Amino acid sequence: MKWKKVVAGLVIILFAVALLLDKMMILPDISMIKIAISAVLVFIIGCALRKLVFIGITFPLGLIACLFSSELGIDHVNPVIIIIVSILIGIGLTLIFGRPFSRICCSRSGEKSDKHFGSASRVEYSEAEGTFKVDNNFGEKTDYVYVKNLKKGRIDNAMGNYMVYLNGTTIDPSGALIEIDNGLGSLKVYIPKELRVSVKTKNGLGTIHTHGSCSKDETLPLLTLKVENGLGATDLFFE
Amino acid sequence: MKINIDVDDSLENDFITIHCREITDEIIELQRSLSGRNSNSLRISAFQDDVEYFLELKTIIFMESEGNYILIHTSKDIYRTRQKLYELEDILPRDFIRVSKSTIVNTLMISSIKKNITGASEISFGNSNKHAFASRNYIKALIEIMNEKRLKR
Repeated sequence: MKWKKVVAGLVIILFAVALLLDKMMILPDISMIKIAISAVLVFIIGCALRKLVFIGITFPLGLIACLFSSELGIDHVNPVIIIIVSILIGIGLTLIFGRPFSRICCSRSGEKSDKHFGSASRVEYSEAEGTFKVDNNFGEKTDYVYVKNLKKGRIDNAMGNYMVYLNGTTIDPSGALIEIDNGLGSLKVYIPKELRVSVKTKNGLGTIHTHGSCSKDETLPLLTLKVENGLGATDLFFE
Repeated sequence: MKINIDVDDSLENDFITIHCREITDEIIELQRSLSGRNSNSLRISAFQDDVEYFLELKTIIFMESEGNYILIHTSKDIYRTRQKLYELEDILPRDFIRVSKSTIVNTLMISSIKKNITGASEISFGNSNKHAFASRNYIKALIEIMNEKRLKR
């Protein structure tokens, strides 16, 4: 967004000016560096507030508290403790108020729109190269992956409830590989039953189940699923 | 129960009004049966690739928003429509209820609800391996609808 770049640019310029003024000993009673750093942190807080990312709000507040610890009367507290407190408050607020869904949408035309609501996740997607990478750390999330001529993909789930639909995805004639890694959470992957699929599994103390059956037509390109499951539950649905 | 039919050709649409002394289970059952008869024949238009399908409402298990589209899930397939979720919520019958900011489910297809007081509750559907999640803000309304459908003494 343009306004964001303009504000970021202004903040950086102000920081540079403040740094210069501080070194030139102009206004020696006022720490320009502290004010400039605070301005940068306030900008970060503003960005985090827009997206309601609580750690992005509390962590910079913790840093500001460290900068102005003597003014706030908390200079006897170790700065590390202040930072840890701010992070813990951010995590707590995220767990309480974080929105339960985060979804990432991948459209067939190659456009990508991200919706992140509280839970941490990433997407990398390249329809031109036939690859995708989706993941979920915690919380409930659903992803729809439409890739034409898929060659390689990766699905990661840490502790959350994650559902991935591969409806509409086609396989490159030379075959494709999807690596699936599930930690502690519940991962459900829905695969079109028209695809020919080979599943290789590595399971810890959790469970890996397949439901339904895939195509056995050997003229079709092969989709290989390499599934690694830790303590959680991974379910593959062919439908 | 007396049944009267008033014919008025000045009316634009047909509608049914139930006059009763109090709302009883019988009245609710009657209302449900009239609504169901009306909605069973309804279809919704949706696309899969470039093909337009006309889906019967009774085959739909849930709908979920994805970017500029709404994804309509049946037991085995997924279709797309460009209508907005709030537009669908207005026109769909009462059996379709919103369970989160991005999801509407067909309560007639729900087979189980795994409640979670700290997070989202997981909804399972009959004849399908698919699941949806109901957020804390909407779970109460869903449970009320499901309670209405329960057999009572």
